[in-house]
Amino acid sequence: MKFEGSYQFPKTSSEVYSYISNLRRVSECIPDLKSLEIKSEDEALATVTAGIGFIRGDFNLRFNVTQRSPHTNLGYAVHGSGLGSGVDISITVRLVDLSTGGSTLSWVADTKVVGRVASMAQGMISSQAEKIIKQFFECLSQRLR
Amino acid sequence: MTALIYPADAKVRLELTVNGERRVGEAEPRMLLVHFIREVLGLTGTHVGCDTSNCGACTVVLNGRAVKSCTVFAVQANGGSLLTVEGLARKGRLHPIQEGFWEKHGLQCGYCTPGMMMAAYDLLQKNPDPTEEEIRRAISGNLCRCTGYVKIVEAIQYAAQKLRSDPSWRSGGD
Amino acid sequence: MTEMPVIHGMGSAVKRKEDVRFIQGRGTYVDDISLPGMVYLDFVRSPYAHARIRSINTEKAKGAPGVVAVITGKDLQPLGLDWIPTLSGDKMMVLPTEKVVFQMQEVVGVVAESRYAAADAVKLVEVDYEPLPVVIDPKKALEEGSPIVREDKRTNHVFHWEAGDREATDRLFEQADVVVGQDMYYQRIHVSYMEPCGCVAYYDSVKGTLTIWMTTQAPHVVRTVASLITKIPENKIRIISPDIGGGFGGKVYVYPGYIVAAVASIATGRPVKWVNDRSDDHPSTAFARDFHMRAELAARKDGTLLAFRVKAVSDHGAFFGDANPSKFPFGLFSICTGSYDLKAAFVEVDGAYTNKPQGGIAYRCSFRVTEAVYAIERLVDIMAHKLGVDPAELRLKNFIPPERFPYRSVMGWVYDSGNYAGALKKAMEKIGYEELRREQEEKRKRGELMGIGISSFTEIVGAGPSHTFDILGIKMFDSAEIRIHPTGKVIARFGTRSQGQGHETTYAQIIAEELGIPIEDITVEEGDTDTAPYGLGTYASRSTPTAGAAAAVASRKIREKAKKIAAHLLEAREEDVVWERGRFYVKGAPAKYKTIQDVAFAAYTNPPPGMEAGLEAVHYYDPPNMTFPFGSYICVVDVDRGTGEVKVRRFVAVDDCGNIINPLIVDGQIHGGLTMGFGTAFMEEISYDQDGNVYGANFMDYTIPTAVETPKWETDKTVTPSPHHPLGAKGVGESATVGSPAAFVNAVVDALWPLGVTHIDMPLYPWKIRRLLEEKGYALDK
Repeated sequence: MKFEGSYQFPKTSSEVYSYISNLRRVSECIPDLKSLEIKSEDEALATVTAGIGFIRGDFNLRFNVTQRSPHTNLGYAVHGSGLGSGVDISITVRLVDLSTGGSTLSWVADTKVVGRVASMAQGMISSQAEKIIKQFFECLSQRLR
Repeated sequence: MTALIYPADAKVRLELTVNGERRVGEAEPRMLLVHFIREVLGLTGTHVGCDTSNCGACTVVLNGRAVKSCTVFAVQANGGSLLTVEGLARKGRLHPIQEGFWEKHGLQCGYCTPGMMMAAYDLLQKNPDPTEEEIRRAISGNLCRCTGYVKIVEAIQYAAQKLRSDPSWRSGGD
Repeated sequence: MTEMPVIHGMGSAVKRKEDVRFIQGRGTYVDDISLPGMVYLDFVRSPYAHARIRSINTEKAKGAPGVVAVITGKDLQPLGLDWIPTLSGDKMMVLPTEKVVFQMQEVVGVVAESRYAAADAVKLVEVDYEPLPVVIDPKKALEEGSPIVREDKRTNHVFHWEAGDREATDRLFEQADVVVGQDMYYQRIHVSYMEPCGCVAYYDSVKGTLTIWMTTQAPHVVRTVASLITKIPENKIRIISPDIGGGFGGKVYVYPGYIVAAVASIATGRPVKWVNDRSDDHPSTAFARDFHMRAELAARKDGTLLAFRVKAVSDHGAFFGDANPSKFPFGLFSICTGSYDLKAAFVEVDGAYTNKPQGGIAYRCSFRVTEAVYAIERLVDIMAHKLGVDPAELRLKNFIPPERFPYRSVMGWVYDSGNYAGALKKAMEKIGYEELRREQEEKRKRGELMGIGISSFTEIVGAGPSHTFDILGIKMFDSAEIRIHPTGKVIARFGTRSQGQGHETTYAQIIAEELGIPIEDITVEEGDTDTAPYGLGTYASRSTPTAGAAAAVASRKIREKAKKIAAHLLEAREEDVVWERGRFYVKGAPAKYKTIQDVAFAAYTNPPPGMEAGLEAVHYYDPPNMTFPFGSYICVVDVDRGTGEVKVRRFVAVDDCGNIINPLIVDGQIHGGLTMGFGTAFMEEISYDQDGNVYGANFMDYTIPTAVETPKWETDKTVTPSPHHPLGAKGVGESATVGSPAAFVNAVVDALWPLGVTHIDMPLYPWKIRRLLEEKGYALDK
């Protein structure tokens, strides 16, 4: 599943980049966060409550920064497990300065869900996954305004 | 209907009538009735065939109605009256349903059979002279992989006829 | 002569002996077994179809309430049990150490005091996976550059197998006037026995014995293999196959649960029970079919069928675990020339590994005969429609005629006996074929879709003769051991294992027939390897052809000895003693007789001088050939132009399994098999998405027929005995599952043929038919 979106900010790309390349700041936007452990500037471990419909429970996530190209590109990898299921999301972010003085952030999330959640709730996965990823970027964009 | 609320780690003492006898046992609130029947009461005739309430192998008669005991909690049967396959025969005499299944070759591996017979019991209580279609609909919640249902229908028809003509089997309770 | 006792021998529609306990809920299935101190095994299963295992953290699970042990692949490795051999000579993972290879694969075993505690603890095991690219399509798996499923192999190619004569076949195809070809996919299905797989394993460290109650159709082979892999001496291993709630081939495979339960018992010293939940069983135990083929049939324009060829790819999941006879990696598929006198044929099959569970041979397939019959019967129907010839006529024209038997097919099988035209004509008469064709013509004019489908199949069962058949080197004989007690009662034990086929009754009937002893006096036992003679088990409809024959031969050995004892008791010469079903009498003086019971008593109290006491025999029967049951099925359907739903209006099945032991039981087998064929044709399917997620993994999503939609089957028979079987009998358990899918599909395609439809892959879901009708502009919306 591929999802994408974009936001415009009144800040420059290097300001936005410095915010979103900071793992601690970015982790605060992970939806339904139960616990967080920052292991290094590139890796964080989190527990979230997630699920679809009646299949709810705790998910363990590993959140990595996989690519840093100041101030234009950033890559994240999210690897999660729980509820007899697995989640892998690969996110690429692109920042472009605008002539008006602000910048555009565009993101693409390549998402894979496997396991019981996928087998039983296949029809609902797409919208649920999209909702969660969008929530994440909404939160980031709020903090950047 | 009152709600049943227990702490998750409680051990609930259950008292119920099982096949005409007073039985007592203990269960966690989340224990399924089918596990209570099989493991606490020691009545292994009721079987588990699935985990999505589809197969009906666990069918028993609780408080006069057929239920899938995998979809009922043991605590819900507290104070109630339960009839399982072991309670069909009376004083060594096979119930006409059991007779019908035997006469008509209504079983092969036997795994779906107890549940199937309890569903038939429930049907014939309510409808002593069912049509073939009514029989098939009444057992539509009981899956069988061996027989193809033709002889199960014949077995139930045999039982229906026997029950109609033999007053000694006219039910008294359950 | 005084009255003969009623014995219920061959041909008697007697009630089954085993039913007494089942109707009272007193069967003993694996989950009914409870031993003191017993603990429960459950599994952590992989959500990934293909992933490297980075780490497994079992600390939380080990500390959970009631947990007794947690077992990983690393624990099995030093025992040499992380991988075990399969029945096909491949190997399979029991628990992974490096990576997982199919979704729902067992990864970690958790043992706890109750099944609830075990399930709770399973959730606490943390496995860190690194996903790997997944390969789901067996055709893609065979392509260059595909992800490789097995690190111990270089490619995903399991085998290449050929049978027949390629050149002769190609030549006939070139010369033929008409050639039809069709790509067909036989979808993945699951046997869906009502009882999931499981076992109770108990290692008694004082006696050094390992006892496993197991849902297995082949207890002796399991014992031998278990001994070889665990190094526990074979006389210290006991496999008990108790009452089994349906097998259908799915319980021949060896599953990791059995091994892990045994290891857990050895480690904890306690009995360990493992029983699959349905949602675990369905996506991880042996599937059936998943077979992609292109089949082609060549004929002369006068309708003489000439040659048949098939090129196919078969999906074997991550491990090749089929219990195939070793010379036949694709089973008995070469029976695909069917009931017809074809002049040449050639088949080639390539097997592929994919990220799916093991399987392929299961679901009453007689070792791939389901695939073979589907292929030929579909193509014969397509050919008939192409030539504009009635499908019954085309078949009657090309059937092997009765006088040609024993018939050697171009694939080398020697069919023992057959009367194909007899069966088809009987079916046609019973269903009113001519009348139905007239009705169809009229309906077509009114735009109504009615179809008639025929399947005239030839089966091949009874594996098998020692010159051709073996599993892992063990020859495929089967056995009967019969002993008569002093008071004339009998105990008989067999190397097969019924899972609903009624052996406790049918074998007793055979012995009753041969020895004149009433079946009430005959106890039949199977399944305990400590007491039963060695056998290869029950699957592929082999029991009557092999063990049934053994029962007859062993009985005859007993009768030979009995005759000598009778002569001694009657003070006559052996040549003057005549046997008549239960008694021996002196030729010409029938009032002077001794019953078999008299003889049995004498065997222990008054045997002839010099003769060994006792009255028993054991026989290991090596069948001289396979048996070839056959039949003709005719199916009538009406297709709803609005919903695409297919209503099976009538289905007539005429089966011939030679001499019949118990007609009630044969009917039951046919009804059950037809219902499985019905499910296959219309509603059953397990499928995967490209991430390896499995759909149809439980009884909610995988639909099997209920009493409501299952048609009322009409059965009849012809009887063409097998010339080589001691009772003239053939196997029958799988005929209906083998023969019926083609009848259903042929019927639906026949209904839609005027719209230009030549084939629809199963399952024939209403939406598929509806979509097809829309494409052809023939759907109705009101």
